[in-house]
Amino acid sequence: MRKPVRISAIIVFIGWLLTGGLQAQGLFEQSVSGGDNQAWSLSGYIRGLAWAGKTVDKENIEPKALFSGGEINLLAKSGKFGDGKLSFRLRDGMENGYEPYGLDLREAYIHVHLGPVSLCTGRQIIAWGRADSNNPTDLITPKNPLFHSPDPDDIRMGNFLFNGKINVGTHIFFQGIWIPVYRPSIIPVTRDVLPPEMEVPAVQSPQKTLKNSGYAMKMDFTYPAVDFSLSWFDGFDPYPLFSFGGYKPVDSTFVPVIGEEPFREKIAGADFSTTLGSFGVRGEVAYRQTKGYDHDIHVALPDIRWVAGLDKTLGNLTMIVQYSGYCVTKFREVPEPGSGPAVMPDQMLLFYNRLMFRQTKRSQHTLSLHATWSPGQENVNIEGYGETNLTTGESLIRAQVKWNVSDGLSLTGGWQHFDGKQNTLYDLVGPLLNGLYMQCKICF
Amino acid sequence: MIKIRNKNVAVVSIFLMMAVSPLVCGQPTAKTIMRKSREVSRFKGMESVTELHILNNRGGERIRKIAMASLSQPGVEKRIIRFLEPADVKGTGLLIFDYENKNDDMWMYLPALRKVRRIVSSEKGKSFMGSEFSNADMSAPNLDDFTLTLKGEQSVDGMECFVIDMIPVSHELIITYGFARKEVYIGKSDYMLREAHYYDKNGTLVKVLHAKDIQPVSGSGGKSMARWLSMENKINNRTSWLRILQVRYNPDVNASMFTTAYLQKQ
Repeated sequence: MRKPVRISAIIVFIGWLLTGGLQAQGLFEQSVSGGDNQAWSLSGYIRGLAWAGKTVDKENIEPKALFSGGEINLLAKSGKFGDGKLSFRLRDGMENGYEPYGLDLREAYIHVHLGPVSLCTGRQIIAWGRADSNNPTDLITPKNPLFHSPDPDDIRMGNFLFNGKINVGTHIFFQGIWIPVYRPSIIPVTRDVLPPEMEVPAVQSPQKTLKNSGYAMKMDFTYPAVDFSLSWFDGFDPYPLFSFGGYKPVDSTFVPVIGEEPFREKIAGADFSTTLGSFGVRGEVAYRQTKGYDHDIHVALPDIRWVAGLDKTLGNLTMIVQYSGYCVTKFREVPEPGSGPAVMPDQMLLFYNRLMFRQTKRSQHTLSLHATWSPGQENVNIEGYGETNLTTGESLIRAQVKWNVSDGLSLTGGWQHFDGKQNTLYDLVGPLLNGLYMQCKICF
Repeated sequence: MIKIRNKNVAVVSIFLMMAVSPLVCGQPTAKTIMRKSREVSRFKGMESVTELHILNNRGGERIRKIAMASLSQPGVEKRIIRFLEPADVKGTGLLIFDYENKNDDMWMYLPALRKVRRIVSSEKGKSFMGSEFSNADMSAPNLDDFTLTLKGEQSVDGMECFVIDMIPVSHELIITYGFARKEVYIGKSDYMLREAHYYDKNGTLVKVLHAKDIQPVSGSGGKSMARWLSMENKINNRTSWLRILQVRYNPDVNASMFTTAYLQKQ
C-alpha cells in the first residue's frame, strides 16, 4: 500500500517541477533570453591595460602590469529548462614580473531549471554578502587579489561546484552548494617579498576525496522591509597558509622550503540590508571556527568578522560609509620577525599567516568611505575609495575616472596606494599593487 | 415644532446640495483626476520592449534597449526591468515594488558585482540610466506626497486637457522627486497624461515631458498607452526619448519573475 503512495508522491513532485518550466515564455522572458529561436549568444570584451608604480625596492617606477587580452562569454540555452555559460579570458603580457597565463577558464557550467528548483554544475563564480566589497561570508570561490584591474569582478576565480537553489514562494530561497575540489586563492604576497633563498613550491591541494570536499548552504529572505540571509560553510578556506617544509639541500647549503597548505573551517554567517529614511543600511557578520589551530600554530585562529554600512545618494553622487572589524576569539600573541639573518623561517611564516588573516592583534577596526559620482548623462564616472585601519594604521586610497567614450567603449585611469608601517599587510602588498593605471576596453 | 421644521430644512438642504453639487462644481477634483489617470494607465499584467534614446546637446546619441514587465496586485504594482543593449549595461536589472501608500522597494542587479542590491526608493529624482527621465518618471507618483490643484483646462495637440499643479508637501519630497512644482496635462476624455512641466524652487521651467502616439493596448479592455515619451531639459538643452517597440497585455504574467532570485538570472 505504501509503495503506490510513494510513486504517486514522486509523480506529483515531478509534475510540480515541470509545470513551472512548461509555462509559455512571455515577451519579457523571450527578450531577455534573446528570443525562442536563438540558441546561443556571444558577448565579451577586448582590452589593453598598463599599470606602473614603485617596485619592491621602493625606489624605481616600473611597469607592474602590461597586458592585452579579452574575455569571451558564450551563453547557450535549451528552451526554458536549461542554459549554459562558457567564459574564458585570454591575456598576453606581464604582471608582477611574470608572464600571465594565456588562457583562463573562468566559468563553464550547465544550469537546469525545473520550476522552483534550479541545479547548476560546473565551474562557477559565486559572490555572497550584502556589504560593499568587504564580505566576511564570501568564501565559496577563490580570488586573485593580485590581478591588476580597475574592474572588481576580475579578481574573482571560478571553481567546480554543484549549486542547487529552491525558491520557496516569492520571499525565500534556499541554496545548497557542494565544493568537491579545492581551488586556492592567490596569496597576496609574491615570491619577491620573501627572502630569496627560500623555495616556494605549488600549493599542496588536499586529496580529491569526499572527506575533503566542502559544503555551503544559505537561506535567503526578501521581504518589503528587509532582506537578510543566514549561511553556513564547512570546507577549506580559499586562502591557503604558508607552512614551513623543512630544509632542502641545494649545492653545498640547505634552503628552507615554504609550502602553501589549505586548512578547514566552519563559518556561520548572516547579512541584511534595509532602508532607514533616505539611507540604505547593510551589515554582515561571520563567525569562523578553524580546524587544527590548537595543534598547528600556522592555522588561522577562530574569529568573528563584521561589517556595518550606511549608503546615501544625493542626485548623481552615491556614498557608502562602512565600519568593519575583526575579533580573534582565541588570540595568541605572535612576535614580529626581526630583519636579521637569524630569523627562523617558521617564525617568519607564522607572522605572514597572521598578517594575511588579519590576526596580528586581538581586534581590529577599520573605517572606509566609497564615493561615486556620475555627472550629466553618466558618460563620466568618478570614483574614490578611502580606508583606514584604526588599529594598525594601515590605509588605502583609490581614485578612478572612467570615461564612456561611446556605447561599449571606455577609458579608465586611476591611482591606488596601499600604505602601512613595516610588518603590516598593506606594507607587503603596496609594492605589488600601488601605482597609476590606465585601461582601454571595448565591450561587445 | 420649530425644531422639527429646522431639521427638515437641513435635511432638504443637504439633499439639494448633494443633487446640485455636480452641476455647481461641474468638474472632478484634482485628486480624482489623478487617481483616474493612474487607474487608466495601470494594467493587471503587461510586458514591453522599449528603446531609450539619450541625446546630448551636441547631437550625440546613445541608445539603450530595455525589457519590462509589470504585475498589478492589491496595493502594489510590481515591475521588473532588464537592459538588453548596449553590451556594457546588458544584464543590469531593476525590480520595483510600487506601493500606493508607502515608499517603494527597489533592488538593482549589476552583473559586474554579481549581486542584487537593495536601493533607497527616495532616490526618485535621480536620473534613469543617464537619461533626462528620472526614476520617478518610471512609476506612478504617490498622490499623498503632493498638494494637488486643478488650475483649469488647456488644449495639448488638439486634445482638451485638465491642468493640475502638483507641489511636493515637504522640502524632503522636493529633494526626493527633484522638482518643486509639476504641472501635468491630463486628457479630459481619456485621462491619459499628455504633457508635464517641471519647475525648480525659483519657478524656472527645468524639463518638459511629452507623451504621444497614444494607442489602445490589445486585449486590455480599452486601456491605452503612450508609445512615445520625450523629456526635454530646458537648462542643458539635452533630450531623451523612449519608444515602446513591442507591448503585450498579459494578465497572467509569470509572478515568479518579480523576485530578487529571478533578477540575477542570466
